[in-house]
Amino acid sequence: MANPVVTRPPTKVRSTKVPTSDGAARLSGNGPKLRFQGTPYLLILPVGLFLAVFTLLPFLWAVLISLQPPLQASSGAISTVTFANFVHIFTDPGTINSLIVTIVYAAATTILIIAVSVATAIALKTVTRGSGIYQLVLIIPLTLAPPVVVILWQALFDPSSGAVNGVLTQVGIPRQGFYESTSQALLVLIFMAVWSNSGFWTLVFLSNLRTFSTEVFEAAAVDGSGPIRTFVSITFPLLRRTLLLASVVLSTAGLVVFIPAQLLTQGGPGDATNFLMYQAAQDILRFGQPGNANAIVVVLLALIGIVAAVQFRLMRSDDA
Amino acid sequence: MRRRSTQAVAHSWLVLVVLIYLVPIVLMIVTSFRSPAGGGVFRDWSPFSFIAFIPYDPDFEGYRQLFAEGSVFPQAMLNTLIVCAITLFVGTIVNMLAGFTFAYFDFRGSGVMFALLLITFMVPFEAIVIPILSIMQGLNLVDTLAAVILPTIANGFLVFMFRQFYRGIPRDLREAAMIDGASLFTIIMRIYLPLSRPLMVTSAIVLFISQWQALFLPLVVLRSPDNWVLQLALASLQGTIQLPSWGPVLAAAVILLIIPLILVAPFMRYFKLSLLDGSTRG
Repeated sequence: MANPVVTRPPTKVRSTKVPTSDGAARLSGNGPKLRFQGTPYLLILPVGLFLAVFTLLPFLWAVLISLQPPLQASSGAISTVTFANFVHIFTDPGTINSLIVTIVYAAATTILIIAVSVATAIALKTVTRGSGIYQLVLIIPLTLAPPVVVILWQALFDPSSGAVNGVLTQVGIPRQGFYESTSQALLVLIFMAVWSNSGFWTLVFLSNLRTFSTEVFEAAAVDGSGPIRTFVSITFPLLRRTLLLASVVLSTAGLVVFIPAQLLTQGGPGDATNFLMYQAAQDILRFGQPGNANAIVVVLLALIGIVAAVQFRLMRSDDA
Repeated sequence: MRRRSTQAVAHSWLVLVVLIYLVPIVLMIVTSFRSPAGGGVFRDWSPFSFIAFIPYDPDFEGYRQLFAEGSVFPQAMLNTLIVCAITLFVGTIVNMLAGFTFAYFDFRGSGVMFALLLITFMVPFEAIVIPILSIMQGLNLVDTLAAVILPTIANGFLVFMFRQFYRGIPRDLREAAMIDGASLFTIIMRIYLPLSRPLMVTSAIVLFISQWQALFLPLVVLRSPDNWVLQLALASLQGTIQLPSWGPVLAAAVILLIIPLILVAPFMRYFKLSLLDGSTRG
């Protein structure tokens, strides 16, 4: 403020064309006006229609149904507005438990998948030979469908006939209950998610690591920076954008987890893996309570929005 | 000295990771060919013996049962192929056209529409499966393959990917073509489409994999076994497991594991390139 600018060299105007304000459809970059103004609208019509009917409309529908009294909702009649379903969700101990289980699952899978993927990506970038073969194996889980993953690990973790207990007993550790044990079921499902997702995210982080120039790392090494120091003050900040992407996508996917509960644990044992989305599916498919099911969907969508917004805020900072 | 130890640490970690991926998959494939006679298919698993990795008594009973008379599996396979093919072709065309439009034209409302599009790809599909059931009931499409196909065709991520790519194509190309009197159709077919071939492959793979792996939506909107897709057939097999029926379950899981690998592997190079490019460029 104590340094007033007296004169400023005239800044060069980059484009001499006046920005168009008539709003007519034209080719991008201030190109010529279209003879038929409807062309762009016709071209995006299919995607627009599909998204409107099958993404936006379901979204609004969920909000609408969630606000109906339980009985009206199941009959399909739209009458008054009530928050009864939401009151039920936030007062029912079972649903609160589902909320906690879901959040624990989402947080644990997000953190562990990122940790494993970053470690593996750095290892892949470090090795001087054999990287291609390792990467080939990491592609396999990408094409594995969730039900296949569940069946694979169901067989392996089976408490009586599974190979994991088979190996444990060989080395003198007693048999574990795994997905039949109240304390271990959630851990087994978290492990399955880490196993099936880390391959893809490793490749994403690796492709990001490859875009950095090696000079930064060499300079750090010359200055005597050890591997941990280099990771904390160079690699991690450089990966920030991809870390943000990964944590938003993974926490979102974790919050809507459904398939392992449906196929393997049925929400149990007890309610140890009774995820919110599983509860919602039960509500609508078995108990005929669309009001409650859609209220859970709305709560989940809100949660996803909040979690994503918080992560964007936390990770954005200086460079924007 | 330090370099060598770093290499050793990196290799040991990678070998560990690779083993954790390969061992279970190999074990599952070998076991799917195990004869149930003499202690069941899992007899070498617990206590564990390394003979479990060796197909010493090859047996195709599990696979035979999958394709036997009265099995839902062949019809489910046909249904999945129909669903995948339609989604892949229609989806790639419409998403490409939308991405092209956002890159090629300036038009009223394009900013708002593009922002809406970005929001739709932030909404995870699983979150709206339950309200989609209501929409399908309204459209009278419950228990038809259309109920599985229609919601998956438009894909905000693919539109975004195409738009990012097409924005990078120099405008001189289209200006030259227009001077030669090329129509919009010709410009799309002769310039934009051929340039974006790797993205078309990526789009096809993304749509194929998303339909191949889909279970939640089919589970909610499909009812009669004639309309089941593969994952639903697998889930129903798995849901009725009594110990002797593990054979067909493992066989089905192996088939569902192998087919996408065979179909997708040759194109993986394109897929990796364009997908990763789009996601990390920001």
